Amino acid sequence: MFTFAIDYFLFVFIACFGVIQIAASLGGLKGLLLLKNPLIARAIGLIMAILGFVWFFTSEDRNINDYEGGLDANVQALFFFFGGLTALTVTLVTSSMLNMRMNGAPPAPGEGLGALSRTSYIRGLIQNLRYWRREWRTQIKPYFFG
Amino acid sequence: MANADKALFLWINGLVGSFKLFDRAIEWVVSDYMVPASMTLVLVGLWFVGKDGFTRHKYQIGVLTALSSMALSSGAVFIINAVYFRPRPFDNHEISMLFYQPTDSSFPSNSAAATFAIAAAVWGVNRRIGSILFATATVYGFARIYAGVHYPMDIGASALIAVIVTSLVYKGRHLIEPLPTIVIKAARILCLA
Repeated sequence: MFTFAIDYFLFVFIACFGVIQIAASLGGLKGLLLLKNPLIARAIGLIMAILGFVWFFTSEDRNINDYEGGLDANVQALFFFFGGLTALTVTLVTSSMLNMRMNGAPPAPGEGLGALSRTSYIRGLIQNLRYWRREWRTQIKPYFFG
Repeated sequence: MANADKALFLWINGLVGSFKLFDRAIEWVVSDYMVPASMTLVLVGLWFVGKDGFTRHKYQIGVLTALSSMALSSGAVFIINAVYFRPRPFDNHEISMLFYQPTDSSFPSNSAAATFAIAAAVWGVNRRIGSILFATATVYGFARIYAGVHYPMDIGASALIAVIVTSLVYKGRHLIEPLPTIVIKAARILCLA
């Protein structure tokens, strides 16, 4: 089961990494892209997602019962979560390094992902956290419950 | 009705072996990983894909709804499985199998309920993507019948459970508001939503 779970984790990681690139290019989130051209980023993302599927399903027989080495639904969900989280973390770190020079206007309060259309993730995060460290006493109530 | 269900199953499963390439394709589609993972990947994409803040928020609510509906549909299937056990088709008939032999109850199908729940939740926020996911879930359900894992009624009941649960989740969302909005707003502080 362990080898199967690792394979599944890698499959989810590769496919998720690709899907995030496709979605970021469609959503105009340039700060998350690993390549400057959104069309090329989308194509690479698609290739990665397809490669993940092809590798996982052609490398071995995957129709295996959970007590014979497959994954039951709960373990499958857990490994999907970890694979997806790893893909997101790697995307955020690498895109922040590659887009270090992207330095658009700081995120407006509550803008979130939208700010990544003009700034890198790490810059957006730092600017957001600075704002909230300064303003949390006055802003937290209207922000969440206003 | 049970006889019609069995007759329909035997007719569909009787086609196994007629088209080798089709059988091979079904062996991929019927997998526990192919369709459920693909549909969950669509949810990952949906989280990021909105062009503006309003659309993104709508899609993210759809993703949270899909996860809740999937969990609640699985819970409903679990309860039904606990009170009613229906043997798998291969327990009662001489059939052709394109899949391993599961040991749990046939009625209703947990995996089909999960995929239909995702489709229904996405349909609530984007009709086009939702329709594609409904078609995918239907193909997956058909593959489970064709491969000898479920009777047609198992899949039909799962779809019904998933659609009812998802519409209840959408209708009941205001009861747990502002929790989903708070989750999304907290994620926005970290530039993750």
